[in-house]
Amino acid sequence: MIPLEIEHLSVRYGDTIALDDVCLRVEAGEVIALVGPSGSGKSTLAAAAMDLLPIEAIEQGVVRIEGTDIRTLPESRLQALRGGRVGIVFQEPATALNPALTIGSQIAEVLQLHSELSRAEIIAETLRLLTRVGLDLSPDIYPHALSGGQRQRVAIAMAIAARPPLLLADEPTASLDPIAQGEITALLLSLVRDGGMGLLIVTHDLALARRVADRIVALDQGRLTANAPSLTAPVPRAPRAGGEPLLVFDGVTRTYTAGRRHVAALSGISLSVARGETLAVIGASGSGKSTLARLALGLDGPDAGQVTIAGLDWASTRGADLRALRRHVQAVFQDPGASFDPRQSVAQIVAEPLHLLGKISAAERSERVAAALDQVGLSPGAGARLPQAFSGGQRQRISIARALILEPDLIVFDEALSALDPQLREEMVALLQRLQAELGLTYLFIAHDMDLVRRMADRVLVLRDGHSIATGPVASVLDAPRDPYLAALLASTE
Amino acid sequence: MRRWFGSVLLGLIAAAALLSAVWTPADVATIDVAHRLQSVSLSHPLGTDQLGRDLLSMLIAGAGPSLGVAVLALVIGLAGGVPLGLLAAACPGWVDESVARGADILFAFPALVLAMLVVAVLGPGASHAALAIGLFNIPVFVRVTRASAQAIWPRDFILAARLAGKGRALISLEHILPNIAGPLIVQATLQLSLGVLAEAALSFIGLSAQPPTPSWGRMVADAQTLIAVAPRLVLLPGLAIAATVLAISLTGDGLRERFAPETGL
Repeated sequence: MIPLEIEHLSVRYGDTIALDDVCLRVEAGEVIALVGPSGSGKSTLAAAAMDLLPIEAIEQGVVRIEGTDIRTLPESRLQALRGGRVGIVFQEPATALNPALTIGSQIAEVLQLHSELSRAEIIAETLRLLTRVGLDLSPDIYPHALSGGQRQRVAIAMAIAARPPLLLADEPTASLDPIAQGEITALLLSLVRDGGMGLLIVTHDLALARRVADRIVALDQGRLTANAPSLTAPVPRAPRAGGEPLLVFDGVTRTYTAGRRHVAALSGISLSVARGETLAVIGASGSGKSTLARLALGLDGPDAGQVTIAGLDWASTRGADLRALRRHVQAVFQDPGASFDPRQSVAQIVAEPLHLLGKISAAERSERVAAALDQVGLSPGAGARLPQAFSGGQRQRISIARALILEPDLIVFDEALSALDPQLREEMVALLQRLQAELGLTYLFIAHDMDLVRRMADRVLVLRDGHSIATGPVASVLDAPRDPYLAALLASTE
Repeated sequence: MRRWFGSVLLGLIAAAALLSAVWTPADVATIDVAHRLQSVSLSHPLGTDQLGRDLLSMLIAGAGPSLGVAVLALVIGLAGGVPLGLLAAACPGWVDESVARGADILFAFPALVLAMLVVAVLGPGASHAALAIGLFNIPVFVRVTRASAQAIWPRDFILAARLAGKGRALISLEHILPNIAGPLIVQATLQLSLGVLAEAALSFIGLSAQPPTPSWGRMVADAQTLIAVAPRLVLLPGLAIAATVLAISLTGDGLRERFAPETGL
């Protein structure tokens, strides 16, 4: 029996066409990757496969799971189907698990609902599933004690508990660090091969699709496109001669205290970023990347060592000098939406750093806001609206406009492009490179996407558990990794 | 519908409270023992009380102290609690600890009993009652403000504000306060209805507004021996208290759905 057949499926929301005459088959033991930019209809297709579309959607066509047309099934049979015949893995394991229940009881719940096993058999099966997904843990622990990758393994155990013929994974690795990404991908593949399941993996990561899928199906504006999109080969940027050092870390150590434990987030880090240069900082989550960004921005201070910008030390600079120092540095955060006050208009958000200039006239204020919006390709009219009215890519532009308004020397990007789909990322890379060339900006680029690092950065610093394990020009560090950890990190993403 | 009913009822009661300051159907200070305990008539739509005063006028005039004391107590609670809560959330460490523990200590006392003590020491009167009730509104607002503000502080947009060189006070004012307005408004309606009840309790034992100003709680207290003879003298002021609390609660539900749907209370 064929796990999933979709024939001539069209879905409309009012006048908007979400899916247009889509046909798709997932065979047993087959991995199909569904790729496409945001808004291309990927999520609609995944929801349609479980008959989970919102009621205002108008559907045409046939969706069959193991030969049964699911749209003819009553709601009670559909519930047995979801989780029973179709296993689902979501992007964010943190929200897919119930924080108040142990991981064992959450897996057992699926077995109670979708199998005829006795209590004792359920307990045995739960343990077997935990082992199968590579978790050597007690079933009695709670999700908060797990890392992101471990939580995703629990979510996968729940998805496969009822031995479904079809597994649906919606961006299953997007929220994980590169090492965990590689492991989860390998786990999903081994489950498909062993269990003869069909896997439909929804992603905007084309490189991931290439690695795992037997076939890649591309959606664009609701239609299947004949050819899978090609990966743009990274164009390494020409290394530039370094000028005077702008940002300098000198033997920086930062330790956080959690209860009685002391966790070294950074130990003995020294680095120097020259004016006009781009330094990328890479490493798994928890390696100290974000701490490094906070120290560079003066949001946190080191326990030992010095962080200086244009010769001024964050720790000892006070008063008017500190305000002057702050004007040198701005930041762009990972999630632009979260970095905006939800009660402020775009103009208020972009104008916020002008606080550092003291009192300025309303006319100058709006002039500078308009100029900053113009630099990132937004119209001055955008200022009057709320950020919620903008798409993800436009919000990232607003956030870049805010970073530019003071004409800083250094901009810190904390995973700033990792949440964007490939097309938008292309646009942002082009925009950032243009701004750097025009304004002579210096970038500190925190990332875990190697492709992006190769294209944006002159030099790279690799962090592991707060230690620097490699540093130097991008090509020499990434092309011939000498450190085994770095080699694993690279292998998991390329 | 529920929301609509609540706000209309609250509007009527507030209008009665304002109106009573300038006009009531009959003078509530005039005692007319000859016409005491009269039943419903044209000149006295709800009859008269044990001292011959017009009951309708008494009820309308009673809305003033009842709502007035509760509103004043709310203002005291907000003015004291919100800045302290913002301060605690902005300064983790000993400042936060002392503010939070201070609020806990104030919480540990049975509020109404202590309010009685405060009024007994200061002397009875509407403004002293408001002060006593307001004092115990402060820790409530400290808690709500502190907890809501602590949830906002780690957000990225606060980092962005810090990068703009803004200090804790300015961030609290510009970014924290607007974003915790929802839970604060919701808590305010709760405290307002509790304030009406507390005022009724204090005036029942004669510690709130003093004669000749009528107050619902004292009307109930004064007429309690007459409950068999003229039950309306007890029931109607009691009903007025209940209606006011109900109106505030329903309005609060509406505000909660509008401003803080996530609290789900």
